[in-house]
Amino acid sequence: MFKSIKSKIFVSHFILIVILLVGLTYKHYHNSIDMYIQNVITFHTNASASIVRTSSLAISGQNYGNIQLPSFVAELSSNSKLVYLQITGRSDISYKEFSAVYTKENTHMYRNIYPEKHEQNLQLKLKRFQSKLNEINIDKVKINFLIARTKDALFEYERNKNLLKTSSMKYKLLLNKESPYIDYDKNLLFLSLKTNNKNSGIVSMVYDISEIINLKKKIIIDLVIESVISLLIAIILLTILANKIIGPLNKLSNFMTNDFRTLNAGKTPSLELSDEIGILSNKFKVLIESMQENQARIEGKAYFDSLTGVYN
Amino acid sequence: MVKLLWMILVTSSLLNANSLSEYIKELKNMVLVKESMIPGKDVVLPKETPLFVQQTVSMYNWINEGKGTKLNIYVPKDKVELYKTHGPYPDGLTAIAIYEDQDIIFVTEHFQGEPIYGTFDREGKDISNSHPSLNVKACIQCHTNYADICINGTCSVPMLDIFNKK
Repeated sequence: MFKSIKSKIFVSHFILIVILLVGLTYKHYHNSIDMYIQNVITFHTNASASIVRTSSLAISGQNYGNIQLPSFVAELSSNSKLVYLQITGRSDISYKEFSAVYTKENTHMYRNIYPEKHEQNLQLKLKRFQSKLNEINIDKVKINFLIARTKDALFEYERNKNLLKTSSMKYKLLLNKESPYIDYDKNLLFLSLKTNNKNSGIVSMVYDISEIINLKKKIIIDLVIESVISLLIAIILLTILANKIIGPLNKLSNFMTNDFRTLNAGKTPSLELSDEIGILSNKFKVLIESMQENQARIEGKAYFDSLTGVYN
Repeated sequence: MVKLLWMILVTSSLLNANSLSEYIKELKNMVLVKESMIPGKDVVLPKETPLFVQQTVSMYNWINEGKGTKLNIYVPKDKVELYKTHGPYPDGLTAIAIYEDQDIIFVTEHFQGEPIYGTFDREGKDISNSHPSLNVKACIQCHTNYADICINGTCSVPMLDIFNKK
């Protein structure tokens, strides 16, 4: 196998090219993915500026209303890639714990922490207001307003409690990772940004980056096409190179198989070449000429007497 | 269905966006407890300004054609001590804030132990629907939700609080 120089040259170079190509392709693939991930991280970090601003304000004053405003929730839900968001921190004045969570499934920002006996206090308040409704001198507009507001607060509390129970906990593990973190199995990006209120806080965001699957496919297809084209070009070039080297050697070899006495040294192949093959041809030419001279001398001595010059 | 119910409930409470508190005709028996200002819209606040103040300024710096306004806060004589400790307040008038250069009067009142709000001009006309930032909804948004700063319906950031005991 591979006895000829031509096949040895071809195969050894071909293997070398394949190794280089695989290495470069692997590197190119990872560079493309890394670059994409960096772009995604930069994009989401920059796009989160307003989220961080609102969150800072909310943590600072322990204001859950700010982050539950429809406009803020709409801002979050308009980012279809944002699947989970958690705001945590401590308020600036009373140093109270603040925590709120948004999930894409529910398209809702819900409060995580309530004061002790929050529900009981609201229930008591509601009962007290409702009992006042029967009083004659009571301002009906004001008392109805307070009843509606308390009912809203109770409804929100109930809803948040239920959402906390049912909301997916699948992103919780990600929150312990160092940001930025990519979960390649689930195609999720975890980003964590500091808020700018006095006591600081954290906005943790989980983004769906499943588009990376299509991107990976596209990169692989592109790389396979590039590799096939490169290999085809390599095969053509290697064939030309092998022929360039082996062709003159074959001609020289065929030339040398003739009886050297009949050879015309001046017609030795590849004499015109200035490379190693040209040098070899010239050496062969000198050899042929030398051998032909020696042959003529020996023959002269064999057929003629050296003193008299007549036939033996 | 739950969403629909939620929307109905929210709408039910927010539809009532007119002033709920009563207009105060004169400042008799009221004590000026704080003199402050809303800077003009071109004023850049220092970075270290409390975020609550920054939000208040950004919400109201359109006042007086963006030139800002003097802000005075008055509290009934008998409630000054309660104001220092953020209540708890008995029912009745609690405090009024006046944007002097635009004649806007914010009235905070307590009713059944709960704060309610209203916005009026000098003539006592309810102007709560004349601008989103004057709406009762906006008052509640800040006064009720800023649990760290607004207690029992009155708000103050410690560094601005003239009653801050040292």
